Amino acid sequence: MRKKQHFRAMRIPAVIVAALVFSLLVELFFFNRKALFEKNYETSGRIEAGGTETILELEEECYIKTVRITASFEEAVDYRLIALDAQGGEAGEWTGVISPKLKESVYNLRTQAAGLVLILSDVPESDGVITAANFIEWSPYRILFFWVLFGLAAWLWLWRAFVAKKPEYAFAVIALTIGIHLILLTGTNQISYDEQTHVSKTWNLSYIGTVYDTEAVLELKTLRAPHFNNRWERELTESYLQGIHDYDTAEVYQQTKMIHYDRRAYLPMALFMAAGRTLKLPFAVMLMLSKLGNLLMYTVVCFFAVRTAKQAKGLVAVLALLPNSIFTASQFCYDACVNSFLLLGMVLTANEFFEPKTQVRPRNVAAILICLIIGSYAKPVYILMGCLLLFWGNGKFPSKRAAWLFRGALLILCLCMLYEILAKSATGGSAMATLANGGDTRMEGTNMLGQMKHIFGAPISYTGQLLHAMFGRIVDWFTGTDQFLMYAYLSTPGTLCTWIFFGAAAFAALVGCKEEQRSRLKTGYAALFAVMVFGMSAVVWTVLYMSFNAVGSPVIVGVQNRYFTPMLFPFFVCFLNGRLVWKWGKERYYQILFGIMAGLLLYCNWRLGIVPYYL
Amino acid sequence: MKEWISQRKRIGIWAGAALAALVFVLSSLFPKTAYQVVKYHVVLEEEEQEQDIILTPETTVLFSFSVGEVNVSGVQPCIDWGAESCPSGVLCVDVWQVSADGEQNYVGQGSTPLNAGLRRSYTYVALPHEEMLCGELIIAIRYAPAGGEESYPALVATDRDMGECLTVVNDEPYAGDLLMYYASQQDTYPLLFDAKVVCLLLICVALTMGNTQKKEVR
Repeated sequence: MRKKQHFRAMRIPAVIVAALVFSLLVELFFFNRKALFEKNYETSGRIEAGGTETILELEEECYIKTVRITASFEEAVDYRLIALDAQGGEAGEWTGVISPKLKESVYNLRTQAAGLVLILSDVPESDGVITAANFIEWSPYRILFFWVLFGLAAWLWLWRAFVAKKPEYAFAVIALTIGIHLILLTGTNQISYDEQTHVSKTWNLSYIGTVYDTEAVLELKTLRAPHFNNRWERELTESYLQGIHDYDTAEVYQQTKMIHYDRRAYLPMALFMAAGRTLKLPFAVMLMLSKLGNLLMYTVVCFFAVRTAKQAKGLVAVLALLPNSIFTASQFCYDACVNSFLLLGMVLTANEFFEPKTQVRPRNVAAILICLIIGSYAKPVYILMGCLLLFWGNGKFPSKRAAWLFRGALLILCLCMLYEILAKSATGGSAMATLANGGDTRMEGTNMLGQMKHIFGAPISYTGQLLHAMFGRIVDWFTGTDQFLMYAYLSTPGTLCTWIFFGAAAFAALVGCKEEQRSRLKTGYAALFAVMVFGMSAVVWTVLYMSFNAVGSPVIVGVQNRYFTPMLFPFFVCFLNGRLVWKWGKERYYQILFGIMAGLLLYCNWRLGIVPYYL
Repeated sequence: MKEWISQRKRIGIWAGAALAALVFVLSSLFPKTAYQVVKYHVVLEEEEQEQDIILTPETTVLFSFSVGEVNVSGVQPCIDWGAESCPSGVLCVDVWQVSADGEQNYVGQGSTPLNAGLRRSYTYVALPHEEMLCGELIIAIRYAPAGGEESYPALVATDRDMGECLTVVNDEPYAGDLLMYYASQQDTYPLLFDAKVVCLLLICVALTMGNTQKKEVR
């Protein structure tokens, strides 16, 4: 008995150590096989100041792992690398850019060659160096990937009983480990949606009153910071940014001490950024710590969404583990706040719809409304999801009069939030002025009032255009014309992953395990949820049509798939039922769901984070 | 006892809603005057280079720009005075308003001592007669050293003409333009949004509170 207990206590450290050992073995014998079994060397050649072409000859044909080019230029310079075989023929061609800030570029060539030709698009200011090398490399990013992979696989297998009993903890473990891995992979690269804007707001919010913009911060705020392509360039980039992160030369200005509601979504990131600055952490580490604040907030809120769900905890966990959401939670982006709070708000709302005759508890109403309000801070249009509460039966209230008064107050609350899209209360703006002059400045010919007139002038034509765009987009997701799963500028893991994600979500919605309570929504309520999802989607498309598209535009552009994430839970809730039951045990049910989602997330990290940057 | 606590809770929630409503009314009636800072051109774009215009006692930099209908209360030109220097003089800004028929009307002068604690900053200079400072404006920036200064501070400018404004240094048109903010005052209602949202939230919560048992007896 004591032996068994001792074994149980040793399981966690044993799994951690075993996973680490396996990942080190993979790193050594798979990724370093060419360095282990072929010649290790480093050969350099001179890049002459006057010329644009340099030839580097190797002693024999051998494996080139990396090529490092060091040269000074005033502006960014493109280069071509041509590998030559033993007969002097062309064996391959690669292109890259040398940043004038880094004055160096490293290319992971990974090819067999007897020589290299470097062709620069401009003449270097002074002599440079080109170095080809093959060597053993211990990449912490790859090792961490395999450590997470083996560790999660072992954890989901050995702790399957715990995972089935407490799926919220399984969600938190997967979201945090894979999210942290993603934060470490992306570093200082700005690859998220409008990241310069989010960094700017986060940085400013991390100060009270006086703001200090160092040169490094200004480069991030204006998207001018160098972009790295591998871990060597990453070291150079981090070192460059650290060098210009000097508070003595910072630009100093004042800002309001009031935290307006539309910036509160940045608070977790700003708090962690301020902590990093106070601790005097290196610039790159401070940025990553700030992103960690976002991830922690997302994980905690979604943890409670899974925990409080009275039905279909698996579905909530799958939706919370949507790769798009984990990505935005691991970057500078307010989507984490929107997605997490709206998911929790909708879970609590659905809980009430499953018990239509039971009077709603005041604290539940408070929690639902607080979640919807916080979730709508960054995008007020989502407050319309709260209109579902208007359809609670009178039985949910102490009296009929209270029910109607509640609906009236809720409606006013929704209208107040919506009004903020047009006119900010804080600055006393005018809605008519916004409508008359409003429109995204990035697009030509936008005018909200003009677009409204166009819509009301031809409502049937616009309805056709809207429906075509909405349903066309859904078809595109599954045919590969458009991609639902996106890691912003890191691109997409592919259409197959979209199928896998929606397959997992549909499975979690349609099939329940027999140990858990499962019932369907009343038909009327299911229809209500479906109408809300459809209506909310139409509003999102229309808002974008009004603000981002030229007046009378025949197509609606600018609608990103991430805008539909908050509607996924209400959509899948419509399919909950008590008929389809999983007969092979709760443990296996959750093992499959979490296994699929963890696999999908790790594949995304591998395909979009490791392959282009760290192979 | 439980009912007594529940009753008090309900009163507390309604009182909170009433308080939020009061804050809403007060916030609407008494707006807060705050500075709104407008970025004229503060961040260099790709391939732009910074240029320094040294403010010797003989140098005057004129900057002409348009602010539309906003009334300007001050300007914040970017000033750099190097790592070693420690300025102790005063930055002076004279301002003219250009009327619709092109007439230049002198409005007044604003000045501020340079903050020796910093090396570079967007230094705020308050301007007089804010009510007159709208439309087309011309400012003249010069530095009055305190004496004994070995080097002088510099205004930071771009190396590219931005088009919508004009910079003139000692009567010579300058190839670039100044990096600068300008500030105006406006009425703000910082508590209005939160007050109305909290009020409506608490009303919604209070309306779901009530004794179910009594309802069943009825």
